[in-house]
Amino acid sequence: MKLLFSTLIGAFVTDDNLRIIEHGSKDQLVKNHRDAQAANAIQQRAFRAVLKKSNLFQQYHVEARQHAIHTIRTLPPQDSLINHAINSFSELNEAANMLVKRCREWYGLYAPEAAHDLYDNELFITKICEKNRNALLKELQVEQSMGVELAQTDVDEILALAHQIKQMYHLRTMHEEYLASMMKRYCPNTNELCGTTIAAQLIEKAGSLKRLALLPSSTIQLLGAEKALFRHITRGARSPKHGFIINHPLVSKADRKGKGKAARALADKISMCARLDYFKGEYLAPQLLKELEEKLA
Amino acid sequence: MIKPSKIFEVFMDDKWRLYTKNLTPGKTFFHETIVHDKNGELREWDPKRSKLAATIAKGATNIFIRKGSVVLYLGAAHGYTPSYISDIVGKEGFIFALDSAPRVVRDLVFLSNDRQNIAPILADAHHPEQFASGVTEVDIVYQDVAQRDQADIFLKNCDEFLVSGGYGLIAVKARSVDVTMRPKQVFEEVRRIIERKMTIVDFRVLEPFQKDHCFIIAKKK
Repeated sequence: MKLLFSTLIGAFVTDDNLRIIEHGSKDQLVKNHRDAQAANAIQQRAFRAVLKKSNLFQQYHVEARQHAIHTIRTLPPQDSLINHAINSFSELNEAANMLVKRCREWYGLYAPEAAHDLYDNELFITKICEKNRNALLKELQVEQSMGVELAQTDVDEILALAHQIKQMYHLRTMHEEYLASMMKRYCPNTNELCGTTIAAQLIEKAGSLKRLALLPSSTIQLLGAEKALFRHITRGARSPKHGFIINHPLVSKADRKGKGKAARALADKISMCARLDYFKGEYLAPQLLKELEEKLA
Repeated sequence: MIKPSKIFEVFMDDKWRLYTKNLTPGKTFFHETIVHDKNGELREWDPKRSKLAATIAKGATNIFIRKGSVVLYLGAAHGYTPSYISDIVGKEGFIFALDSAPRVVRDLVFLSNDRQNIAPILADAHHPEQFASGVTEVDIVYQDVAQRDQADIFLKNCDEFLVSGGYGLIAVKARSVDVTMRPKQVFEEVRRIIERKMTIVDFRVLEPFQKDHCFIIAKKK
């Protein structure tokens, strides 16, 4: 009786004692050996010992590489794109905030009133990029400035930094728009229910939309609160009530006692939405959002 | 002065630094230190990056991997430890390096460009049946996966692929198995699970090189 084995490096036909009769493509072997039977699990296990001894490792190397390369190339990129975009977005945010602090101190030497009064970072950067010192001080109605007189080269250096930061803010907005348009197509329900940033953060933390869809809503409620959760589990501290979803208006606007309840209800709906998106369901987010608002009102 | 150590194909200097002979002279992948000496080109093996090196540094006398071994490596990651195992088994041996994350398999593919004895496999160690067609029987099963059920995964793969009388090497990360239990208890628990089917020949706790990790070497009956 002949046995047929199919492996990564092609098919094999053997006799009863697992001696290899022919090695080649499966279609060819099936045609040549019509009497060959597919091997069962025990026979396959035994045949792997034969394969080890027959020294075909070079073929395994080539085929495994080909297979891995092919699989990696054909993976759907959506989840990774979202992960990188949201990570880049938050890194840009951090970097820009750090640089603004330096820029503010630096420019404060030249025009302390501007650095002090223009509290908002983005506004501060836009203003000092647009206007020179005199115009800016006039706009802020400063009569006597504490600023030091600096040479033009010194001021240019500060403004060069400010222009870079402005670029970073611009890039951040671009990322945000890109993410929004992509998520609208990829996961319309989740995106509508909890907003682009939170939805992207949840997908990033879960790993992919698939894994988010498979998570229980109690886990979704605490995504982003891992540190507090493990503090709770290992050291018995108070349990966290919300992770990323604390930034959602329905949760953040709830009063102190209602936050846990709001987070629980929202996480419940998010898990429904993620499942709708992953399994290509209908667009039900507005209805769910309405239910949620009524429940929490 | 670098001398061959008790471990096959592994060298050691008088400061207990570990080295293996580079299979691809002139080429490194992980910015490791290179030493040229009468043994040829040697790559330094950092016990803080590799749990196998930490096991050797903690005094294991035999890791059972030798020239010509065929190894199934579960949880290969970027390929730091596999690259040293690839040095040890040499051109006659072979490694099936498995990982479930596409990102790190990308690096494994780069590693296997130059090292002909590595086969990168993108698959999940939980499901041996899914990658069974891509591997042969092996002399060694090495597992470093940091999963909650890692002992079960280990036994499943040893049962399926390990030759009778072959050795299984497993790095246990206590914090992945159970964060609430004390690491010592976790190690005991994992030992008990493995002892049901295999004989444990070596057990090392990897402090101070790796936190809350232990390494178990077991022989298949």
